[in-house]
Amino acid sequence: MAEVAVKNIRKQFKGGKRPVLDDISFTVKDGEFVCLLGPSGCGKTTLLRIIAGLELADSGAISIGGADVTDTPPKDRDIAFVFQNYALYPHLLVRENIAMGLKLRGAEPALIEERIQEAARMLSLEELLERKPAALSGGQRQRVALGRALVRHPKATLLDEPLSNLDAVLRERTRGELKLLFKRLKGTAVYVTHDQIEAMTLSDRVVVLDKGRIQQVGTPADIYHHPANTFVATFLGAPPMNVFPLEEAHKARAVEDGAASGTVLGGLRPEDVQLSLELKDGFLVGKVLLAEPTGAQTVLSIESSGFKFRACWPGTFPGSREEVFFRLPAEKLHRFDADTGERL
Amino acid sequence: MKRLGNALFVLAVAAVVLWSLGPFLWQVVTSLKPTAEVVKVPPTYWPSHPTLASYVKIFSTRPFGTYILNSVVVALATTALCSVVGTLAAYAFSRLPLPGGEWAVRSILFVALFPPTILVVPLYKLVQALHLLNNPLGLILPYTALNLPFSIWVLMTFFKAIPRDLEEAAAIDGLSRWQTLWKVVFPLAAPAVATTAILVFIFSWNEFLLALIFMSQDAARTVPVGIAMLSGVTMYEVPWDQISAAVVLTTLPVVALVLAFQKRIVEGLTAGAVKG
Ligand SMILES: Nc1ncnc2c1ncn2[C@@H]1O[C@H](COP(=O)(O)OP(=O)(O)O)[C@@H](O)[C@H]1O
Ligand SMILES: [Mg+2]
Repeated sequence: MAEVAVKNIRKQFKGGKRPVLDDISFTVKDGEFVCLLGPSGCGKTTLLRIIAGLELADSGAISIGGADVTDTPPKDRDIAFVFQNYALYPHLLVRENIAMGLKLRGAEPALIEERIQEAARMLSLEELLERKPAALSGGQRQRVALGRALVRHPKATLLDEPLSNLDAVLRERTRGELKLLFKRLKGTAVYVTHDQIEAMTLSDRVVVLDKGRIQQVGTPADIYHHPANTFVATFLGAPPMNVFPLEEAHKARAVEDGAASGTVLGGLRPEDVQLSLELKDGFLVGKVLLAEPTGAQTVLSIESSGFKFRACWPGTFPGSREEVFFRLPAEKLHRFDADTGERL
Repeated sequence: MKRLGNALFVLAVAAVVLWSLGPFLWQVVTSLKPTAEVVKVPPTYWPSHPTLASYVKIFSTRPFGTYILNSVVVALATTALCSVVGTLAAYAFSRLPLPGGEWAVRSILFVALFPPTILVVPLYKLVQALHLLNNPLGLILPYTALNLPFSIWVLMTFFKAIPRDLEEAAAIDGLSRWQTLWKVVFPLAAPAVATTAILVFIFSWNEFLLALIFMSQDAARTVPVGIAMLSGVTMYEVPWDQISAAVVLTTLPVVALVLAFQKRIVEGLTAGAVKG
């Protein structure tokens, strides 16, 4: 287990118009679970591959456990990598797949066997050890890929969207198991995902990436409640945060507090909008344009004097209602610079 | 109804098998006939007195053992050379960042477009200059050169289909390039390598034109040329029984080889059709 430090990493692919990674720096502490979160194509995989040594950065440095490994080949970095499509050796048994890394490092057969059993126990692979990958289900393959990563007790485990090939039910369950597993191992992990739920539920800290730049680094609560800019504000949360020119909301008299110029954006999470079926003090009336029930809540699209936003209604919204009363509480309002998108 | 369908199916298969194997079976029958019966009119469909005399004759009156030995040496060496060089070259072309690699592959394929007939004269001069006429190497090297483009092309297609992630997983597990090639890529590519190897073997075993021109001495000849040079007592007599015996004998190794690798070949030909 060790710390992983990424310093000023830049990367531009040949023929690429702009850098895929632009001055990326962050540190994963010893034993910490960090997610790299961002939309597809933002450079997450490239960054993970650079940490692993599968790809070389144009400039910048990587250090693992205090040692600079920028020019070290992958096998000498003592890291494990879980590939998105698992990349198990199809011609080898599960047991051999798991043991490969240890064997090549000259581990004693007794130790190898002990580690295989340990990994098999942790991941419930006991029954599968003598099978080949072709005879496994997607979830089982995923566990073998994890097993292969964990047997070596690496300094850090790098995971590239390891759950993305599983169906929804299995993904949910595996996510929970993964969290318990890494909590128990206290292993340093860098986990790439485009799924905000995965990032929120699994991580100690999240690194939010967009267009090759770090948008924010923080705990899941941090990035959710104090988004650094409009990208983070709208990328996290389902439904996403309402972001609107504050002036517009003023004109609709939806927001009561202080004067705002045209250069300020307001942000309000749909669940922070107060709703009521009866008129209450300080509430305005809005037209329900669309009601989207999701079970636990109903997402309402509301319009009032030309100002549109979304809000969450707990449970099922009465289908006959075309109007609802709302209040946008000033204390929950986020403010962003309209030009830069940065938090004010 | 189902039974009738089955019967028709069996019949159809039998017809196809007979149609394809007919000429070969005729050779077998002819090779077992006494010399006099071969040219009898009307022909007999089964030898009246089956005999192995013609098999004995090709070894006693002709150096047929030498021909076979030459063929085995040439075909095996060509196959081995082609497989090793082809595998390594195809892997390098499909995986390593070679400057100009793309153009190298194209020019290799371009070379393969020339009909070998055009190459006969320049090749002869080359082999002569290298003092390799009547030397097995004088065939092994040209055969390898002629078969490499095809081998490289087939193997490249196969290597490209092997997920890159697998090799990267190997790199993280600690395998060197050579170990990756040997322990991961090669086992997965084995069906393709076996397929190309057999096709190269068949080519080298059957090649006639270069073998005829480059190997002028009887002791250096390979089987196809040897068979063509079989002649009877007089110029006008063709020893069909001996020719048939020779053909049967030289077809057997190929049949045996294909049967031995059949499973692999089928895998190789259908590779990529199903995800593993
Ligand atoms: N080997 C490569 N050559 C050229 N461009 C690449 C290569 N790998 C990735 N890219 C580009 O870099 C960008 C980021 O890719 P990637 O890191 O895979 O994104 P993510 O994993 O976040 O979806 C994409 O636009 C992709 O097309
Ligand atoms: Mg990716």
